[in-house]
Amino acid sequence: MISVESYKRPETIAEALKLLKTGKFGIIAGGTDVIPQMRHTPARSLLDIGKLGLDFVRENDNTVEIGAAATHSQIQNNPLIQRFLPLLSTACGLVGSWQIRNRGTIGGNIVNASPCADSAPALLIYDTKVVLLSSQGRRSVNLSEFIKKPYLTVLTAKDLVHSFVCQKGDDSAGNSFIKLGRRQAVNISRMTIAVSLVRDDSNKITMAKIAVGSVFPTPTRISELENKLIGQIVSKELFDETADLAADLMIKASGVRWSTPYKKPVLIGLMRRALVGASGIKEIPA
Amino acid sequence: MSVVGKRVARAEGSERVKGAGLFADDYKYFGMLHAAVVRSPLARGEIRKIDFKTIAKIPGVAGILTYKDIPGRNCVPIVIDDQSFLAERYVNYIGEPIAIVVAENRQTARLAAAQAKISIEELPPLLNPLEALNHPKIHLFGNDNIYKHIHIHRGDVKKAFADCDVIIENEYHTPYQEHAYIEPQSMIAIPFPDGSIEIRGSMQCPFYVRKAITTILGLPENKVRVIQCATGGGFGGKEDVPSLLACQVALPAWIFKRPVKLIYDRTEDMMVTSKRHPAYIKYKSGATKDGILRAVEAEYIIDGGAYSTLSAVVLFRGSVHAIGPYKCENVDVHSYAVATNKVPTGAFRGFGSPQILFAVESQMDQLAEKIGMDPVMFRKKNILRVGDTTVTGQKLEYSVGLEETLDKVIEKSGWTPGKSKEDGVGYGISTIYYGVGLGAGGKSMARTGARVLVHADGSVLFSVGTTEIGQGMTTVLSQIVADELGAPLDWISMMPTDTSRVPDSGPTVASRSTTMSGNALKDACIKIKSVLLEEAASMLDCSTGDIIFDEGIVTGGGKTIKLLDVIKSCFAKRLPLSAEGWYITPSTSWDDNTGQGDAYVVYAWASNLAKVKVDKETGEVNLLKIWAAHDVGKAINPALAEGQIEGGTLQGVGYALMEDMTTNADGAIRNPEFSTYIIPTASDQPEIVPIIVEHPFPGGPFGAKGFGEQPLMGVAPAIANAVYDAVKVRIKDLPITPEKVWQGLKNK
Repeated sequence: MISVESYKRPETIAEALKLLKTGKFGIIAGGTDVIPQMRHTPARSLLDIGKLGLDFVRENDNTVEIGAAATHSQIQNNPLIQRFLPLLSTACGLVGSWQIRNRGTIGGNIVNASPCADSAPALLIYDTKVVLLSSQGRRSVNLSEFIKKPYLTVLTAKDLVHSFVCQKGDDSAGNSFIKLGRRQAVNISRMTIAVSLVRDDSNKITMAKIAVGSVFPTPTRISELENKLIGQIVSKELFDETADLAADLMIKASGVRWSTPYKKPVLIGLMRRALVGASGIKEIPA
Repeated sequence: MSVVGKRVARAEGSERVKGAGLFADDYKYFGMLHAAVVRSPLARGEIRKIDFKTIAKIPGVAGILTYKDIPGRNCVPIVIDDQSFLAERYVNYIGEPIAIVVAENRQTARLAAAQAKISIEELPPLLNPLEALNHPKIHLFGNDNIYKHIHIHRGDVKKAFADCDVIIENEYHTPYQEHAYIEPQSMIAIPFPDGSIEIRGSMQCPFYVRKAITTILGLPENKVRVIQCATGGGFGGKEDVPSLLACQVALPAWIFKRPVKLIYDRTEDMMVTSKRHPAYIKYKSGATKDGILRAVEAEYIIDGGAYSTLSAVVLFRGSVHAIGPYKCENVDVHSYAVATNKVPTGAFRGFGSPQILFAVESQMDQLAEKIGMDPVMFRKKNILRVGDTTVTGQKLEYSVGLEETLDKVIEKSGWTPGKSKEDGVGYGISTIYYGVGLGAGGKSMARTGARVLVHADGSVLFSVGTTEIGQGMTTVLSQIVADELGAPLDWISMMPTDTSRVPDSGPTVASRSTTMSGNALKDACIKIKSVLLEEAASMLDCSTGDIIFDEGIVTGGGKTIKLLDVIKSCFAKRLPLSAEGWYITPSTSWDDNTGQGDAYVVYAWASNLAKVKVDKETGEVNLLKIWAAHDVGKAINPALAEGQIEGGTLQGVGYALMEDMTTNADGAIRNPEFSTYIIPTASDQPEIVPIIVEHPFPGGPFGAKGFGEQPLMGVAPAIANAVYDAVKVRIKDLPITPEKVWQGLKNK
């Protein structure tokens, strides 16, 4: 049974911050996570950010800024995002179902801090900063630091997530996004892998960005893999070793669990597939 | 025939799309209370103390009722009377009802029920049916925990195995399956000052509900009226469970003299209502190298949960289907329905047969491979045809279209065994059958009534005792009535099913509505039509034998008149244009000890062909396409028949690949939510090619026989066989998850 103590839908950010200052409110945007969670929590006061104009997507010099209340559908189909943040468009297109994508917001997906949030690995690839507002002012936190542990962020009850500032991706990059689930829609990810690679004419990798979801306790950029790739010539051996390293890092971080016997080889297989996909080379040389 | 056989639109289709149907939760009554159920938190224990003082003080709580408040007998009658309506001294599963709380609103009722204090002394539960079977110390049912044992015996199995060239022996396991009907269980009771009570709700079987209410309230049947509301899916889940809900609202309504409503939320529904029986199957079968199935020996154990409910009859159907649609002269099958301290399992599309058919069809492919014969040829050598005898010794006289279904899936798919295919792709076949109707397992209920009323303006209203649960019965029966009366389809309407309209017509289960209610309606229509014929003959001045009725037009003696004018003339002469129809099935027979008899009046038949692609790195099975051919006798409405094939196939896909419900160490359902119990979505639907085959059933209306359950039944083995064909991994434990396929690949 769901009940609400009070409900406010302010029309200005100043008003919203004033209400948040009381520390009494929980924020609701699309409601696709909050409403189901309310079945198991006592009645609370809700602050709806739907009227704050936070559903924007705008371009700056080297960045694209996405409002916290932009929906997954909006992001999936936005031409700016498709051009400059293609992995994010792909990732948002794989969230939940059509209906959830129409209501659920990127802010909600990140604030919920689930290990399997589909948008997080893509945002990590684009070195995203989270812009937070409170009555104290404005601050900006790297996404990699924003999520502290599963279902916990640095956010306090007085903060409002305003937007995400993403570095534009390299035009020449090859990208690959893989989601492993149990069905085609309303699909909670069992593993997500986002890879972005740039190589020169001699097939030397000049830029590598790799992020994963549901592999580590939080969505994570894996610098060890990136460093291993940068400066190397694409080869089957290189990708095999990189994929193996990913699995070793997973076990080092999470230990051996009931799911490890399956997840380890599948991570290796899918990481290899993502690397090959992002390299854009059909026949990888041995 | 004017509308029978045509693809007319579903009677309630546009209403449903607009959301206009009246479901139980749409009804509101003045002074209505809301109920919630206080349930056992333990799988087995003795109730020591019940303290409702605190919750009774919660504002809005109208009262709390226990077994002590039951005026009649504390029992929910289903097959055997072993299930209490409210627990008295012992509880036997997590979620067993102990008390009913009623309050002014749903929220308060649920809150109060959740806060009830009950102290229960925990007793060790039996959670595994293999341990429960003949348990030396703990006796949940009888002294062996066996609700039912069936033995099917033919020929000499031992001798036959000695003659076999190949023998395959395996163990199989299948899990719970949750119905996942779109509308959860919902019920309302309305008491009347004259001492009668009305029940409205979501249900398959209004006459079962009436029996439950007369039992707990001690009322005669003429004081209990049960009316079905629009029902959002059943699949067997609303066969016996609505009887429990009806008791849970009827008792407080009776005591407090106010209407009471109860709607389970999804989690409660998934925790405490029936599901498909988990099954443990040992199967040994043998064949000669020329491809003849010679011997089958099997042990089939199903987990019935804490009360017997429908387990005995589920086991009956499973046992009759235990060797599949094949000839075999040497058979020894022992099947058991076993008691455990878990939620009672019950009816679900296929009713005990999908589990054993998964084993049967997996075995058939393995035998074929070992002989070195293709799986289609091997089946062709063994399938039942007209004139053959079934495993229960029944000679098949008519309507056996299995071979045609097999030929059709091969023809439509363009696939032949051994045809080259891309790496990771596989094809798998299953051939199955389904005994239509209750058969010998429910012989005493194999009758139905119907009423047909023709009004002076030509509009026709009919009533039946079976229910519309989304399967399209209303439309199919309207088509039958239209053609039997020679009236246009848009004159025909059906009353919501109501126990006060027709005699006890048994349940809406076993794919029986089209044949049973169809035949009863036909009986009623013939009576009305004889009056219309006489009148038309006098109007046309010809003999009744020369008259043809067709969609509202009557011709005879070289003249044409309107049916409406004939009806008006009947009314002017005060002739009766209403009639009651009645139908009983031809006799069936059965012997539990030998497993022999004419188990069902007629059988439906089907062949499925699945095409999959297996990802060798992740073990994921991508189901590309399914061809499903079904012998339905006669498709009264081919569009609805194809809809049944598509829907049932998708439900079978879930059973095969995704749906994985388990219990935890305490005996509670581990995943009673759609976020953790994964069912297919529209996006997971593979391309399905429905194929209708029609071998008429002489006893069915226009040759029709029921088949609504069958589309689910053969999907899992077809997919399992396809996965084997793709990557040579044999999965014997449903569902076929990526982990299991991956493990199989690794072990190769």
